Amino acid sequence: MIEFELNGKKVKSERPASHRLLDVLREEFRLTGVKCGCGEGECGACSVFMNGELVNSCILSMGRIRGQSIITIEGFRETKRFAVLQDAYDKTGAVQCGFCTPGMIMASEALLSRVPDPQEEEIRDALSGNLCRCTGYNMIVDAVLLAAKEGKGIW
Amino acid sequence: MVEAYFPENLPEALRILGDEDVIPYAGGTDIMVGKSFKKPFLYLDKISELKKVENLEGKIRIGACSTYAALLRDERIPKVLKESIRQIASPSIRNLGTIGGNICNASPAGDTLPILYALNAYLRLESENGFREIPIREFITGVKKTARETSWLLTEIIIPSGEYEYSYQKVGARRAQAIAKLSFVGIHELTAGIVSDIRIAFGAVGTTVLRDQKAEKELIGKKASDIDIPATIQYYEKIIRPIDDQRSEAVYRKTVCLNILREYLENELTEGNRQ
Repeated sequence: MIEFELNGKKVKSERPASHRLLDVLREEFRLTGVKCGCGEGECGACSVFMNGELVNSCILSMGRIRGQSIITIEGFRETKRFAVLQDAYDKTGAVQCGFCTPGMIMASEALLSRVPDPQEEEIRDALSGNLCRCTGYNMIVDAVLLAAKEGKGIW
Repeated sequence: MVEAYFPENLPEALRILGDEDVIPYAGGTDIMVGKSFKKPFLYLDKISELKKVENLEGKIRIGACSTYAALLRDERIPKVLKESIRQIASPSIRNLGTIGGNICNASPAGDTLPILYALNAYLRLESENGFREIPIREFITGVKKTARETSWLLTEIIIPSGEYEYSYQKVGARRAQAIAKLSFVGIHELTAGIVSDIRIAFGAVGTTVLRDQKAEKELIGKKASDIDIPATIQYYEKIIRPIDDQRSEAVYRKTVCLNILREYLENELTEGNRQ
């Protein structure tokens, strides 16, 4: 039995310690905003926060999250910061097929919460663990720049 | 089978390691790429002793389970080590992955390894019955092979404190998330134009890090401007023996290594280059 906090609520899972958090989130808790792209920490589609830090849920075993706080895109969606990011992604055309978008949003939040007014280079570094096969990245970088501008003061 | 162990402190972890056949789990970023596990995990993340960084008597003692992200935030960590860590994988992996994991994986392409060889790092290994401290070059014995016996745990990485003049290069297919095709580090001290210390290491071009102290000794005591660069290149040309694999080819690896070495000897081996 593994107890942890998921999007602010105390939860339990009977899954073995070696199972991936990603699978538990999708199959047991039906949080399907968390995607499986590569399964080896390369693509960032499964990004979540553990105690406020960006991590890949595909290479995070259940035993490692015992007693930790996990936030998924579904939990982050309830915040004002998400609304600003959503609007910025929308306005810049940063979403095409959408598969990478939850992970990109989480990585954007991880950056902005640390660096509220980032330079382009810092954005590219912060998103370097997230792959997008559609946009060519420039629109996503623009989205983060716009979010930083529109959301001044909330990060 | 017990499916996992969650020790709260180091003595408890060492006791389990002595009694059971387990996989020590630090960051898990490499372990979890595997799909099935025949032994239970020994989770090390609750052990605060393994996450400490201390500066004692001129030595920095780095807890083996310090994450890359924690080390990047720590001002006691030498810049040359940070430079290699900053180029590992991606921010999310640097939040989980640990320096002790990088060492115990013993991949020929392990990014911190050439730096640790060049810094003459020592490793502290502990078991229920005691501890020992050995140079990293004696710990890593081959591809994915170490001298760690199953009842021993890597607890600390010990490096000298202070900064060096250095040059570090990682060559990979792209800037983020790349496993090195090869890497190079040169660190040196110049005193009035004389090479008072130099260490040169190459990663991913052999089963373990390549560092040749005979070649370094040849350079120490010489004026930097008097170094016989062609002879030095010729010497390394003989001892760098890379292989072809999925990431690169031997001929490419060797050519680039020698070009980087030449660039270092010609342009970087100067004073006031403490980046």
